[in-house]
Amino acid sequence: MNNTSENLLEVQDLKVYFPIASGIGTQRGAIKAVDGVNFSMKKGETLGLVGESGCGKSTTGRAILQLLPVTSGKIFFQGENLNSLSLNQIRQRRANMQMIFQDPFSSLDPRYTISQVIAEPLKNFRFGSQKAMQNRISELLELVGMNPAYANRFPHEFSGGQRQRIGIARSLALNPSLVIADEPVSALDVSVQAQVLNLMEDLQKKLSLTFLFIAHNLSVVRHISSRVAVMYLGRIVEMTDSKSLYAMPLHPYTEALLSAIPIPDPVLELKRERIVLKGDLPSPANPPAGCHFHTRCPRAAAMGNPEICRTEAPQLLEKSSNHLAACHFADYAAKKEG
Amino acid sequence: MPHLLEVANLTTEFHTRAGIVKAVNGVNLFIDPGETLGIVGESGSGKSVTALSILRLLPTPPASITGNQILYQNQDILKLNEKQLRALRGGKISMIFQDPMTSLNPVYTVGFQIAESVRLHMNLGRKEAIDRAIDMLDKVGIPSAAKRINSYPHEFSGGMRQRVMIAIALSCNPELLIADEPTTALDVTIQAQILELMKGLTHEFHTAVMLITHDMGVVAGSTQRVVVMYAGSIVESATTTQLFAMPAHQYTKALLRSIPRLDDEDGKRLEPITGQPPDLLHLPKGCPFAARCPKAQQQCKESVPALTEVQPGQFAACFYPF
Repeated sequence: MNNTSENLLEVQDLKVYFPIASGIGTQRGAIKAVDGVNFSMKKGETLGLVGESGCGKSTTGRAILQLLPVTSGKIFFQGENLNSLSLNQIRQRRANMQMIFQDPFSSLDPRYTISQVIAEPLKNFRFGSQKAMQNRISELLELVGMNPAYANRFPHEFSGGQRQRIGIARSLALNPSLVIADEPVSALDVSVQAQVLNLMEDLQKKLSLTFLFIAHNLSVVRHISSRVAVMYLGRIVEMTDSKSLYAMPLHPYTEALLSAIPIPDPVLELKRERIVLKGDLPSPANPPAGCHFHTRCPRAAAMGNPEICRTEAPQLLEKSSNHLAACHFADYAAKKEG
Repeated sequence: MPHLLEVANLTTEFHTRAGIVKAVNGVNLFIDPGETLGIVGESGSGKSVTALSILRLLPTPPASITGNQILYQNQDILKLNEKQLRALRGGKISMIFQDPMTSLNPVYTVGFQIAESVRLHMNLGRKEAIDRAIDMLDKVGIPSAAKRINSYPHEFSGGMRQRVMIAIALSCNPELLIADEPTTALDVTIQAQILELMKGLTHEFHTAVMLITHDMGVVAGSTQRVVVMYAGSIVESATTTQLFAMPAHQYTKALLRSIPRLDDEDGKRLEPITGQPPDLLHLPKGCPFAARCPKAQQQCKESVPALTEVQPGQFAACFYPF
């Protein structure tokens, strides 16, 4: 894989394992939260990272920011391998990569005023005089569509949507180039969710931001992302531009996931054929051998459970132009359509 | 045909230190035997409080439930005593809650918890109750049910726990099942499993369902009729087909426009509803949606529109429908 400078972020074979302790100093095994993830992001794009709970999407986001110890793999940010940097150097880089959190109720300190919340990153990186800082805070609040006169209020005085705007303002305080948004709208009601999504789109255009958008809601991800990566049990199973993913999913898990999403249209709902997956997600401490999905895979079942699915883990390969899938029988979908 | 359940002018208030919170404000609705009614709305719209008020599960005080009547088979639930209520709850009307992680008792086996309600309501002995529990676990699709009845809730995944909840709720053949956000805590593929299961079983037992959700997609796929709530009031009531084909209330229209859909065109911009829902402590004088409504006139700010029939079977509380 090349790591040319056009890629803002490059993740190579990232693994994050959490040890399971069974007593003092002994280890019983590991939860393989992220198990060999590869992807890269160009400047200015939005990559959506989707999957169900426990698939490793949030862990991937946190590992990129070096908020978690990485087991193995490389993360290049602006051409620089983050794993080889000292803690102090990583701290400096973090000004350039920021995070928006899921829960606007717990991600803002209740005892800080809005202006203190936004000032914190500015102070950490010695932004400038008190006056310059106040100006920057007003500017940021206006940027996210809030009245700068509210700067001295406390978080509890605001609604969920407004708090998420404050969280966004804080993440943008240091002019980052990469913003990792971990489920930024899933705690919000739909009418407010649309406000925040539109704001994120506007900000991206205005400030040429790059978003890694982590979410479980595929409709939201389809809306905001230019490219989408689907994760299952710590691995990316499919990655392509959002249009192709929805029009022509190659991996059976993506197919099932898309068909499980209810569409707000009763006429369409009646006509849709729903693929209902059997069983639950296997434990990431002990994932199935071979393809992680083979235990629930309707395609493997239809083909009489081929041995290769049980023995060999499929690589994430380009199946058609810019459309990557990790399935031994990825062309099955194309054949069925044709 | 008489309605199975008829709620007339239900009002539920909470008396708090800050003042009186009007959570439900004069709600009228009915459910017929065997039908699935969806109740949709955003957080704070009063949909859960409506359900809890019907079963009188809210502690009074701080809550106070006033209303003309909640008529269930010619019996006014508002006038029942504790003992009569207990016979009703879990027997004739049962409920599934949102969070399967906290709604099961962690110190009892799931078999015990299913058998508990069976023994109470169906007058079965210990042995028969256990048989019934195994039968129900099997029905909700839990493999090797005879062995699993001795498991504790923590040994099950979220989706499996919700299956157990459904088994408990349907074990006494209720006529009405109130499901309060039954799939919100679950992943989409598990949600699809649970919705299919509920559809199949309620059809088999001819159970009426009151499905409370905030997800318009779930409503579209699983209900015959829908009630839309906003700030404690019903703003629209229609058949599911009517509601999605031709929403009448401005709030319903705006809500449907603000949802990103899987089948949207590329680059389509969402149309959010501006502003916030009103504070339930200080409800506005007129229509609760007036402050956020693009079509609001002076009249909307001064008086509350009544729920009126705008076309056969479709009701909206709006002065300027469609």
